[in-house]
Amino acid sequence: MKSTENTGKPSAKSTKKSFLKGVYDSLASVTLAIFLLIILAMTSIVGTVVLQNGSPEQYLNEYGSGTYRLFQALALDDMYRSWWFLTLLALLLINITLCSIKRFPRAWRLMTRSPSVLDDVLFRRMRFRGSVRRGVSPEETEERVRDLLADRFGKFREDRSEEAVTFFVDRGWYGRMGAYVVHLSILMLAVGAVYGGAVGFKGFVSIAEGQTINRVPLRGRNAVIKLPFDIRCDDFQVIYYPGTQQPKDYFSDLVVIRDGKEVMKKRIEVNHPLIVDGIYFYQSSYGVDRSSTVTLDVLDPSGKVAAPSVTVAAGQPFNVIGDSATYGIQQIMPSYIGGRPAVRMSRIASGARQDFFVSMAAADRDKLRGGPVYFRIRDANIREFTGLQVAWDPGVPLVWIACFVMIGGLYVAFFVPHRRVWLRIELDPDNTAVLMAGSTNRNLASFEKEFNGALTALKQVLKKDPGKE
Amino acid sequence: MSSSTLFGIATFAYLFATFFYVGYLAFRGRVVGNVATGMVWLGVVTQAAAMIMRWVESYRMGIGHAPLSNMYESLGFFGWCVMIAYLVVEYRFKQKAVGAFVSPLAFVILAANALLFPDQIQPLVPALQSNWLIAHVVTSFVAYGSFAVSFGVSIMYLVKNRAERMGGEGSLVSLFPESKMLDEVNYKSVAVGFPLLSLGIITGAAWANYAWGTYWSWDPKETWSLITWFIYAAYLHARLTRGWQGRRAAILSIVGFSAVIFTYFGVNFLLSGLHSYA
Repeated sequence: MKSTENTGKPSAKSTKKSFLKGVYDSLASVTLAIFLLIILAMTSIVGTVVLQNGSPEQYLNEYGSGTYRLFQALALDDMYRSWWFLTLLALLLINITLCSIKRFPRAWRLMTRSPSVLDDVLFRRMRFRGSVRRGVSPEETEERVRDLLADRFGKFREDRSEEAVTFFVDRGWYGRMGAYVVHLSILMLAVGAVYGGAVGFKGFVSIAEGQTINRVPLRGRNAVIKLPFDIRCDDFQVIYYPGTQQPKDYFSDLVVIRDGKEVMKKRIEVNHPLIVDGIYFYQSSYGVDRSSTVTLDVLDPSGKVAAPSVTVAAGQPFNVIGDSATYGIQQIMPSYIGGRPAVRMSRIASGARQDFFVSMAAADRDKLRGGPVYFRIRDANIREFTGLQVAWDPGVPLVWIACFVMIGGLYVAFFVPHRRVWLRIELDPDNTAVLMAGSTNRNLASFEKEFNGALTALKQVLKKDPGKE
Repeated sequence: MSSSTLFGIATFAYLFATFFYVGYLAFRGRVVGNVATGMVWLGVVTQAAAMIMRWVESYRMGIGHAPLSNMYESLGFFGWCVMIAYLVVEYRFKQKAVGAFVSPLAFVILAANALLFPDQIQPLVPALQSNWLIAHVVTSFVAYGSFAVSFGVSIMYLVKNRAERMGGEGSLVSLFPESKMLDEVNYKSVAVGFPLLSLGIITGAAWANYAWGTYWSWDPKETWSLITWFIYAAYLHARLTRGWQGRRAAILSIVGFSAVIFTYFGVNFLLSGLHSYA
């Protein structure tokens, strides 16, 4: 607490001192804080309007080369990681820190060193004050005042001297610390975010059913991280809302393998990741692996076999005996009507392309297309893959702690006003005044009401016979 | 009775509340004021019933989820939160005149909702199937409701302030609450909204961390919520330590609410991003 008295350091050269002090004062000012908050709010808009982390072609197409060069110069294509935006954030953190250091001693003094005696100087300084002419003896007054204070404000302290007794109500003193707790939490949040960003990694990997992986390509960087264990995907499934193609849920059955032994199995889905050694594996996307094949029967319009069955993968063109057209499968859908597979196909004949659909559930439907041959899915050997977001962020626990601290701090800062009320009774029977004074750091209007209510009640109870009115 | 009918009743209740509050402003009749408040209560209660019905209906359809999952549902909830925040303010500060500037917001929100968005109950996409849904949406929208009240009183403040500076108060304006009171209600609403907005952002970040693998990715919705946070943080610092009151505080508060509206609608309709449901 002694250190709080120490303001301004002695310095050899006064001009240098005043310059440094000037810099310090501006960095520690609330005006700078307000300025930075507004500048951050305005600049942050840019990154929500300009595409972030796109490819050069995307920018050139949309904005042209001149504008793109400007974007690059100002790093607007990755602005939230740009030097100028990070500088603004760093300035805000420095400002928060210095501002708190500068203002803390005063708040601490107001919190811990309230005067316990209401003298005339203090009385005149208070915003809320009133005095009451006493109509009963000092002892009687004291008793009635005690009852009133206990009733209206709860606990109070007292300070007694020969001449007077002061009762002191000190409520919500810790409210003074709310703002500092919030500021501290923001610094913790920054430390957690920077630490997690520097040490951790984020990547994306797709694993086909049955495949085992232990390398994960990192996002936004040309690098691969090797996991200290292997991950195998045993199965992947999508469940649809009945009668629709809207996914209700999709899950992957993952197995963690360490030194050749299966150490963990877990079915993951969106919102329910797998966590191994602090590394999170999130269900993110899915698709059909390129190794999947479909076996098609080739039939003529009368339903007789026109050619031997073909087994093909997506994107692999094929011909059918007796038809000059080239066929191909565009896309394999593992679960279509009735949960059975379907394929989107194309037929290219003399430069004209026709797209069509063959579903296993509707066996002869393709006949209606009216081509020289039609297809039926005999069998499908489909292997799906699961797309996993992989992240290791050791800063996360600190970030969550910071969030809890912030919420606690905000609550205290806004909803716990520091309210102080002093009540002084002169013990000298000739001096007839009872003085009451109060202050609050928040919410003047409601305190005013409370204070005036107490003052009115005080006047009431100090009448000779408060029962009669 | 279907939930849409109930939403319709609530919409008109807020419209009539607006009329009665304006009437109250003009005539200061106790009865008129009480009818206005009664209308708000009618709206709030029917809307609550409508939301519960939707919730039950969704379970009957086998796709049960809280009615907070798309634009239609969240917008209705937004209007509801505005009126709940208003009722708290009316109770605390006894200033019914404020209702003339807040209940039309709820009316416009609900009317736009009925006209613009389909009211079918839709199944939830997997990303929304989480317990974070309710915590995130409720904290965010209660914050938005508080900010809407602060917006209403800020407009009132500016109207009154303008009339006073032009000399000769208009007859209606002279019946507005005192400037000091308007400023106080403005501050109080922001002081309630700000911690809730922080909580809304934090629950969103926690959820994102579970669903997408990262608690912050500068997605437009995230960024705009942070922009809103910056603006109200600036408001609070300006008011509490720099003594910004009255006009400047009211203008900053209006800017803050514009950011709220953009975070909610602008991001969905003008920008693209992960947060595409509502």
